[in-house]
Parts: sequence; C-alpha cells; structure tokens
Amino acid sequence: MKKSFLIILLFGLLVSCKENFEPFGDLKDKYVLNCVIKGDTTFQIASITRTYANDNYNPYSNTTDHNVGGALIRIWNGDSVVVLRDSILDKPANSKYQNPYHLYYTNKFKLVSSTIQIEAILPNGVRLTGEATVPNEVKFNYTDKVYPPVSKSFVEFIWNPGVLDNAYLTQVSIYYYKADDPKKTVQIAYVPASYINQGGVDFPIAPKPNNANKLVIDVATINKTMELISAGDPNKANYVILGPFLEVVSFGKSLSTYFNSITRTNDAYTVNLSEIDYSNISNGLGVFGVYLKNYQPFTFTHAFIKSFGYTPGLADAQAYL
Amino acid sequence: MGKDTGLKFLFLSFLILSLFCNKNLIAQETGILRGLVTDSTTSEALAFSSAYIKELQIGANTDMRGYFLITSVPANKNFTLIVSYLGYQTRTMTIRTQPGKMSHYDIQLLSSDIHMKTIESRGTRISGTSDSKISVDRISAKQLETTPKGIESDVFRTIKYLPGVTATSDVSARYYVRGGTSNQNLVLVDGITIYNPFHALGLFSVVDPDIVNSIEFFKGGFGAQFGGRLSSVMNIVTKDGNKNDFSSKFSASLLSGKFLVEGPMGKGSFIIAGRKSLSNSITKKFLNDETVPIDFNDLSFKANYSDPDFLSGSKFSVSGFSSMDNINNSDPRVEDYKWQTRAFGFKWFQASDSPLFFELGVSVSTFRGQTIPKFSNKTPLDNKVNDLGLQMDFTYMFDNRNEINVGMHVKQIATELLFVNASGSKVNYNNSGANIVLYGKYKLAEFDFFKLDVGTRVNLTALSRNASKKSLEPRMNLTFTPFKDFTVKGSYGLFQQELTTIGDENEVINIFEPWLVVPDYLPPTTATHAIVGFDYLLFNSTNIGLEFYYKKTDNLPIVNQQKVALTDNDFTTAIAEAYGMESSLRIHLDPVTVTSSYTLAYAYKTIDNLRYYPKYDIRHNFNISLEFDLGVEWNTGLVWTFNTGLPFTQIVGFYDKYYFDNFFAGWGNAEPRRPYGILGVQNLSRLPAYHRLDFTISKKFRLHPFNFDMSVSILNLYNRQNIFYFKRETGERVNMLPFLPSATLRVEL
Repeated sequence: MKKSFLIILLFGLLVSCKENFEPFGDLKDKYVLNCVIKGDTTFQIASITRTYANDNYNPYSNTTDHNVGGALIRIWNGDSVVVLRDSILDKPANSKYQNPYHLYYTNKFKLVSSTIQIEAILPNGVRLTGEATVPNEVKFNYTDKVYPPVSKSFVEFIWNPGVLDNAYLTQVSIYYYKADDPKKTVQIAYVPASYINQGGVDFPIAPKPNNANKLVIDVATINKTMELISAGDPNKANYVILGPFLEVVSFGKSLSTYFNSITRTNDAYTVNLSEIDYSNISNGLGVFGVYLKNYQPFTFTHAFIKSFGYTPGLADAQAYL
Repeated sequence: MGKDTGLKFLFLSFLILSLFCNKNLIAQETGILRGLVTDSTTSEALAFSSAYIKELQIGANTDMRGYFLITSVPANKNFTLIVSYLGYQTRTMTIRTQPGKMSHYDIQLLSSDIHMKTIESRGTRISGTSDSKISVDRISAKQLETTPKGIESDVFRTIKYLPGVTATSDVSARYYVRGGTSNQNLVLVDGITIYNPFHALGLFSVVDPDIVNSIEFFKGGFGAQFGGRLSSVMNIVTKDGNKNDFSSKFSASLLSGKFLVEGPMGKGSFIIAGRKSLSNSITKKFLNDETVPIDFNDLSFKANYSDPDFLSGSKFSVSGFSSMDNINNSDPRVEDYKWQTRAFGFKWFQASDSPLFFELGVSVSTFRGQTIPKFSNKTPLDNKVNDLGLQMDFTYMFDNRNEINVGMHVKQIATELLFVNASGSKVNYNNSGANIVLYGKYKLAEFDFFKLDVGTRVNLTALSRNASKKSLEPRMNLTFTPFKDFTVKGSYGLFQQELTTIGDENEVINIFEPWLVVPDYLPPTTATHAIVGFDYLLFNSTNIGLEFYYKKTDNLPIVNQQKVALTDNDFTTAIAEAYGMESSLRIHLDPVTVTSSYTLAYAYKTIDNLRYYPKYDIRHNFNISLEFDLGVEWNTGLVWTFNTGLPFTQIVGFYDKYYFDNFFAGWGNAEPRRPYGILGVQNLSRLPAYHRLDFTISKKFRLHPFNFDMSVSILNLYNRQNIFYFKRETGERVNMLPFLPSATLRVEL
C-alpha cells in the first residue's frame, strides 16, 4: 500500500503543476469609427482607429494610438453633405499614448435632418458606414425656478417625454468666483446625484444616463455642494455665487444604446467573461450618434446664499417669486 | 396528443398490462414477504440495502424508506433470508410466509467497521435483477462519510465524481448533468423542491450531509413520478432521528460550526440540525484571495410519529428547512445581497396489509433573493418564489412481481422578479399558475431476463400559458439480461420544464440565480432523452458499467444577451444537444476499493444559428478513487480527477473604446478611451486540462462519554495550478483552489 501511495505521489509531482495557455487568438483586423454629433455646435469631430494585438497580457500597457489617417469621411445631412478634414494633433502631455493622432473635423455642420449618415473610406479601400437619428429636443414642462423650494425637500425638473429609446444625462452646476481673484475666473461646483458618507468623508455619486424624463435633486445634496465650495476656507464672504445651472443631454437611439451597453455593471462578486459590444458602424466597430443639449437656469435666493456666508453675485431670486 | 387522448392512453395501457401480466393476483399457495430494514442503534431506515431468499434465488432492494417486498414466496415453508448493506454486518434469518397473506419482518442490521462483505455483492446481483432503473446513482449516508471532505463534507460536491456530472470550477458546487444547464437539475429534500440549494456564491450546498439518510441521483431517463426539470433529479431523504436514544453531535471546520440533536419522541423520533458560518478566511482560497463578507446559516428538523395501535403500517412526519445567506458590505458603495430558502412539509406514509404503499404529501417551499444596490452602480433585484405542493402516490406490487405506480401531483407556483433589464428599464415579471399532473407507470418485472418500466406524466394544467401544446411526457426504461451478470439497459423519455433562471452563461461566479416561470411569449422547454447501456458483474468483485446517451432540448430559455433596444425581448430561446458515453468500474478487494469512471461527452447550444460549446462542455473526464480501510476505524482515500479543458473564447484583438466617463467635464477622468478586448468565436478554444489529487484520512474513536470523528483532508495535493478564468481587462490569470489542507472534528454525545 505504501508503494502505491508513493507511486501516486510521485506521479502527481511529475505532472506539470502549471500549464501555460494562450488567451489570444489571431488578430482580427477591424476598423473603429467614432463620431458623436453635438447638436449645439457646428464643430464636429470624428476619429478612426484600428484593432491591435498587445505584446503582453495587460492591454493597459499599450501606448500606441492606432489611429488611421488619410481617410475620406463624409456626413450626409438631408440634402447636404459635409466632408471632414484630416488633421494631425500632438497628444497632450499627460496622455498615455506616445504618438500624434489624426482627428477629422468640420466647423460647417448644422443639423437640419432627423436622420444623418456617415461614410468613411479608408486609404486601403475599406468602407465604414453608419446612420443615426436625431433625438427629440428637450423642452421643459415644469421646473423649480427658485431655490430653495417652498414646502418641498427637493427640486424637480420635468421635460417632454421623447422617443422611447432616448436616454438622458443631466448635470447641475453652481457657478461662482472668488472676490479676491483679480481675473474673476468663474469656477464650477458640480452637484452630484447624491453623496454617501464613508468614514466621515462625503463621496459624490455622479449622475448616470437613464430613460426618465425628469430630474429630482434633494435639497440636502445641493446644500452639501454649497458647503463644499469653501470647505476649509474661513473667508466665506470671499465666494461670490452666481447661480446654479441645469444641463440636460438627450441622446439619440444609437448613442442611448451605446451608453446602455457600456454602463452595464456586474455586481461586486460576479465574474462575467463577456460584455455586449454595441456598434452601429457597418463593416467595423464604433458608434455614430447625435446628442442635443438643453439648458435651464434657476436661481438661488440671496437669503440662501448668505446662509453659507457667501456673497450673492446676481439679483435676488426673491424678485421672481 | 391532446389531454383526453393522453389520459385514455394512460389508463388503457395500465388496464391491458394489468390484465395480461397479472395472471395471479392472489395466489393462495404463495405469500408476500415485506421487510423494513433499519439500523439497530438508531432504527434509521436503511435505503438500498439488499434482501434475498437464498433457496429461491430471488430478492429485492429496499426503497428509500427502508422497505422491500418479495412476492410469490411459497407459503408455509421456511426460507433463509439474507440482508446486507454497506457498512453493516450481513444478517441471515429464517422467514416464513402465510398463503395469500403479507408477512412483515422488521430487520435490524448491526453497524460494522468492515465496509463490504462478499455476500453483499451476491445479494446486490440477485436483488438488482428486479431493478429496471438506468442512469441512477444511489448514495447512502455511509458513502457520504467516506468521500473526500475538503473543507466540509458536501452532498453536491460528492456527486461531481459521478460520470456525466460536470462542474466548471472548484469554487462552485453548482453542477451540470449531461450537457444540461444548472437550472435543469431538480433538488428534492423529503419530496420538497429546493430552489436555491447553495450557500455563499455556490461554494457549498445548503443540505447538511449529517441529516441525509440516502440520495438517489438520476442523470436522465427518470421515471414518471418526477417532473418539472429536464436534466437530473437529486432525491434526498433525510434521517428520521434516533428512535432508541438521545444523542447530539457538534462539529467545527474552518468554515462553519454545526450541531445535531436527535432522539425518541413518544411513538416517534425527531432530529434537528443547524449550521452557522464561522469565518470568511477560508473562502478567500476559493475567491482569488478576495474577502467576501458572507454570513450564512441553515436549520433543518424532522419529526415523525408511527403508532401501530393508532394506524398500523403508518408513519406521519413533518419536516422543515430554512437557509439564509447575507453578504453585507460596510462600504455603502458596494451592494448587499440576501437570499433565503424555506421549506415545510407533511407526509403520511401508509403500508397496508396488501402489497400497497400509499403516500400523501403537502409541502410549501419558498425562495427570496435580493440585491440591494445601496450607492453602487448595481441595479436592484428582487426575486420571490412560492411553491405550494400536494402529492399522492400509490404503489402496488402484484403477486408476479409486476408493479403499478400512480399518483397525482399538484403544484401552485408563483414567481415574482423585479430587475433592471439589459436596456436599463425596470421590469417586473409576475407569473403564477397551477401545474396539475397525473402520472402512472407500470413495471413489468415478472421475467428474470426482461424488465420494462413504462409510464407517462399527463400535465392537465400548466404554469405558463404556452405550455398546453405539450401535455404528455411518456417515459420508458427497460433491461434485458441475456446471460447471468450481464444486463443491457435502455431508456427513452420526454421531459418538460416551465421554470427558468436569469443566470448568465458567461458568468463564472454568480451570487444566486433568480427563478421565474417562463414568460408567456416563450413556449415551454422540452427535452428528449435516449439512453442505452450495460452493466456487468465480474468475479463478484468488479462492476463494469457503460452508458451512451443522447439529449435534445428545444426552446431553452436564455437571457437575451443581444438586447439593446427597449422593444427587444428579455429572453430568447436556444436549442441544446448533448451526447456521450459514460463508463464506470468498481473493484472491491478487501481492504481496498477502487472506483473509476470515464466520460466522453459532447454538448452544444445553438442560438440564432450559431452553434457553440457551452461553458460546461467537457470532452473527457476521468475520475479514480482509492479507498483503504485501514482497520480499527481508520480510513483513508485518494481521489484523482482529470478533465480536458473547458471551452473559452479567445481575445482576437483590442481596440480603444470610448466610455464617455467625462461626458460632462465634472465627472470621470480625462481619457475617455479604455482598451476593449474583442472576442473571437464563442467558446471555440479550450483552457488547459484540469487535474487534482485529493487526500483524506479519518479516524473514529471513543473517549467516554464522547464519540469522536476526526478527519484531515488535503485538496490539490500536488498544487496543480488549474486555471479558473482569464481577466480580459487586466491580463491576470486566476487559478482555482491551491494546495489546501483542512481538518474537521466532530464530537458526538
């Protein structure tokens, strides 16, 4: 019996304890076209990159921007067509990429059609195409114009429900400057969706895109953001508050779907080896989409601003009540 | 086939079979022998023990209640009955039957430290000839004790050593049977369906092995008495509790602490057992050194009452079960989880003066699983399952050994599932229905060389609205014994399932799988099983088994991974196909027992014309175990497992994908692009082979007034680095369990 046990143990030790394996297959050569049309500007950009293989298993070690230059990119917008110009830009100093990159741009684009098409013809003849629909413009049905609200612990903004598939992303900013700054540089404090307190520190939770056609913010969240503007600075009166500002972005169907696919998160413990890779680019990867932005100012009362020790920078909102 | 036609077919078949085959219902020159085989110390029923009459060369195995029936025993004559069972001393006794009557014997067996006796093989061989079951493995409490424990003895991990049963990792106790998904496995505890039988991310099962009396595990071709699942049935019968004396057990392992109390109670007995997690440190070994704040507990009880003065041959029992798991994170940015399973059942078993058994059961089984997102990015999920069951089963054995088994099963199942679907919308799937099933089967067992077990389930009503198209589930098993010790077996059956889970096949670890009745827009899932094989007993010490199977599953509901638009359905269907060969060999030569199995298997799934290997497709599997009985209550064992690699999808390149983290300048980092791995054809490549050697040694000893059971196990003795998965995002290789020694001490009072 001892013999057989030893034989088994020996066999166990002889067999390889670690076997290498190759997680990578042969590189699948594909091109990636990204172009997100902004509805509030005539300046539009697009980029083309290609897939790459990595020298080691960690994809973050790649420092080469595999962008592609020399392509012809056209966007059809109703009866007109716009050609994007190829340009080469240096990478910012803090970028992980080491090489300059090609950026295609136009400053003559104005949305006129509800559906637009893009086509990119690469130097090697590969043709990438895509189509995007323009989302509904955000029109506010109801907004709380003055802050703090009367008899409510939240502020609310409701806009017109768009197409079913549209997603929205919101951002509330508070504009201010410091009185002792000779340039009066406007600074921005961003109001998160909420704060969570962890170990005595408040962490902001960023807003996420969703299908709801409204935004509700607790007064506690805005108040906390106001407090944090001058955190640690005893000279509160030095802060001149201009006011809050709401931005709502509505994404077209392709961008909404793209956003939805990239924001799917696993839980803290589930390990999922796959994730959906949405693309509306035919013959390639990437996304072509449109978003529209709308703005809604609202105002703080002077009493509210002064309650933090700050200085009001605009006329008193009380006048609007 | 319509319902009426099905019913007519069912009853007509039984009538014809009864008339043709049952020539001698009440033979006056013979009698019926009924026995109840129990443990002499605890009076616990001994399932699957063998009883045979030496002079007549006929016999039977006990059922899961410990009963056996031998009909056509010549009356008014003395015969020698030999009863044997694994781990017990064989008992020889004289029996005598009365003409046209039932003679009942209570047979108690004395526990033995010698595991197997030569006589047992003989008894099994003879008694087994009345058995037409195929693809079934029977595991007794004694066998559970002798398998390698690892950190803790586990019912589900034990069955992974069986041919045809696969697992995708060391981490999870979740199992896959013959190419079926994990939600196609029915788990019954005392006849009650358990919906989520796993603790702690699937690391362990919720069934405490200490309360298990016996397990029948069907890998396919199961009889008409089982339904609702497509792949397998694990039928667990728990212990009744010691009828003779009070006893208690306490044990502790690196994972949990347990207790068990049992004893007599009036005209019956009770058993109560509980388990509580003690430490999370050991789970780090399973989870890539990540600490998961898992907290779990479970509690089981059973009480029974049996009084011949009240109702002769009856036994009433109530049983209950509760398990609860929590993952509570102190960090509000990480979500919490809760899931709990509760079950309660009542049973009335009646053995009459004729060879008729009757059982009535009422049960309630619930499951609730919750994801509580707190301030994390995780979306909320709430799943509830309420299962109310009523079942009546009748078994009658004719004088010529043929048997008829009929019954009615009623299940009222309601599922609620609230979750955020793939398009980011909150959806609520609420569905409920009653599944009323009549089943019947006829077992033709009067010929020694040929056995036939034919029956069907008739679904009178269904849970899902689309299920009415398939109401009949015919099943058939047969055995043919052309010459001594060699039996050819075959099975064919149609199976239907109307419940599914929203598990994602690409998840290598998941918390729990939420259940729901399949949505109305999907048809019910059906599977066809075809199995052939043979068993051969060689030199009284070697059993050889070989089975070939084919399984085709239609309308398999799966989560629609391609859902991107609101209008896309959350679920779609796939077709699954599996076939393979399983062989087993068991050699017992005192004091060594060698068990080995080899499986060659193929599994496929087809979704939208893409046919691929599912993640649990293992081409070759080989297991070998050696058990050494060292005497004086020392036992040791080695188990070596080898699997060819699991399928995985290769990365065929990266591209820098826009994540728009900083869509607004206020949030996220400056670089919106992150590398994204492009996957090749799904599961076309294979991970390296998996193999592992486990070692266990155990010793039982007594230090008055305590009995001790001590065991030491080493998992992955030679520290094989079996790959678990490869993180695409970071290029990190994550391995399964390393070299892992552990110890368990059990104290019994």
